[in-house]
Amino acid sequence: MQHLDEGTIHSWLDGALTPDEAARAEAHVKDCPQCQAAVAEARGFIAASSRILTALDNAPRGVIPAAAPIRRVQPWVWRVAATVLVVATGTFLVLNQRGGKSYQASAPQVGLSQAVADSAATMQVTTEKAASSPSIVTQQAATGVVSGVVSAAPASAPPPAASLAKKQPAPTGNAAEGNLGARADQRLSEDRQASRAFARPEATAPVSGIAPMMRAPSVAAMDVASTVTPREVETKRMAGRTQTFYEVASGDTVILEEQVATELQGAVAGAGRATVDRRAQPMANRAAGKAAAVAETQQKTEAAAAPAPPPPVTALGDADEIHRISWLDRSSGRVLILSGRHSQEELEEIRRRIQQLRDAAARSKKLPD
Amino acid sequence: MTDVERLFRTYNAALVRYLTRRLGDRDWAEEVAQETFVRALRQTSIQNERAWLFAVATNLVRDEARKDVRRRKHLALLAEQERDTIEEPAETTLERAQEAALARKAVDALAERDRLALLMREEGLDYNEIAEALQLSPGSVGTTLSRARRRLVESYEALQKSREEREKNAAS
Repeated sequence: MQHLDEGTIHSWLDGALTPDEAARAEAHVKDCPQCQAAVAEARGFIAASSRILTALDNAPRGVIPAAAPIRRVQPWVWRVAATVLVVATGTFLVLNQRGGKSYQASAPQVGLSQAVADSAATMQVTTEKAASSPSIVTQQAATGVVSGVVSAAPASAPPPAASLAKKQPAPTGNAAEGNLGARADQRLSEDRQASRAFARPEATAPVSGIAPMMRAPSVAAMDVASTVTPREVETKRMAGRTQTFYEVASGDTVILEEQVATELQGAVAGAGRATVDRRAQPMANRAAGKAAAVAETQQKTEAAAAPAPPPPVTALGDADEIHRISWLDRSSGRVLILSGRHSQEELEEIRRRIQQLRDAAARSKKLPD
Repeated sequence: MTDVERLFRTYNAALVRYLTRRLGDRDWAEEVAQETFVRALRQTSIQNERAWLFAVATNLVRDEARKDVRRRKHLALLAEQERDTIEEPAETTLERAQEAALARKAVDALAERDRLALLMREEGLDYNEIAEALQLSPGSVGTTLSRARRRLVESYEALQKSREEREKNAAS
């Protein structure tokens, strides 16, 4: 019999040969020192490659930059495309008029693209935001209109999509499904970008002394625990403390408050209650007695579109109340307080992610030294 | 338990590990895995579940398709429960991080098909499933895997060696 080739040896070791083939291979290897060596080598490769791949399992969360690797279509491309569409439609209409058709009859077709040039078209965008169409994002970008509508546009923004679904269930679902073709060009990164626009405080926050924690009412309780990495939105420095706003999901913000070390002793000493930590984090996890006073303003994401939305009255359970967890950050020696409209468990999960971000940031700061 | 829940509980851990190894980012991996199960929801029937799921996940990474947020909510909930059963990676020491970086480099150096076949095999897919997921002939899977393993190990060892030499030079 011929010597076994490497592929056959691996197939044999992987148990992928038929019983007949396996028996033949075995019989050959028994009497062939050369193939015995090859089989031994193959075993080595199989074991070693498994071991190497295991090292990849320590991959951290959120190491991929939010936008860079998966972005293909630049915003200007959309702008150019939209402009071309406007011009093309206009040309078409003019030509059509010669053929006797009235301009008015075709007007609805222009509506969408006209928004690029005409910010007055925001009204239409508003009515169509449930469609989650990328062209809406484009229009917003092109016109420079920054409003709550922007945040409502893409499919990545669950709160508006879900809340709208209550009012107009059929169009929302159908439009979202029907737009698959158009959405194909969108990238995950744009989701994230959109989320970013979403949380921009000046765009969505109502006037208030302290920027509010936001949580759209229809966000499911565990939605924050989805895969979105908390993202730092804004930092406010005050006497003795710093507040950092993190966006954990679209329309979903939490506040991380850091107190300086001098306040730490009293705060920790006064703490009797240990916080829940399901993940058994290595860091200290004690509760500080004091918690930050936080403005509690809630806003529906449609606020910008509808000037005076009534506050949501539906029972939202625990998730709608503001909870706080606090712990001692060993690297900075500060008490950190995280507060948001989330359950304790959700906050723990968010805390874990924020801590990872902070640790990573701390590491990258230390490296140059 | 619905069918998709059963699929999720059966295959999520393997799929997330496969994707994590592929992408180098746990979050991203979970995102793609969830999207894969969302796709499964839309199927009326799936012949070979595991091959199908791995093929779809592979294509999703390739196409960078968008997520369907509303349907993901339920899966996110399941994932949260599941996450408790998946072992979280231990605290990364410097040495482990270096090892992981070498492994990442060595894996990235493989040809795409070799890499995918190897990662799928590591998650227990048999030769027919790998062939189906990657649209290879079943007969060529052995060759693909043998090449992938050899190259992976060789390039890992080469990288390791050059790092050791660099460290030696730096020390002297």
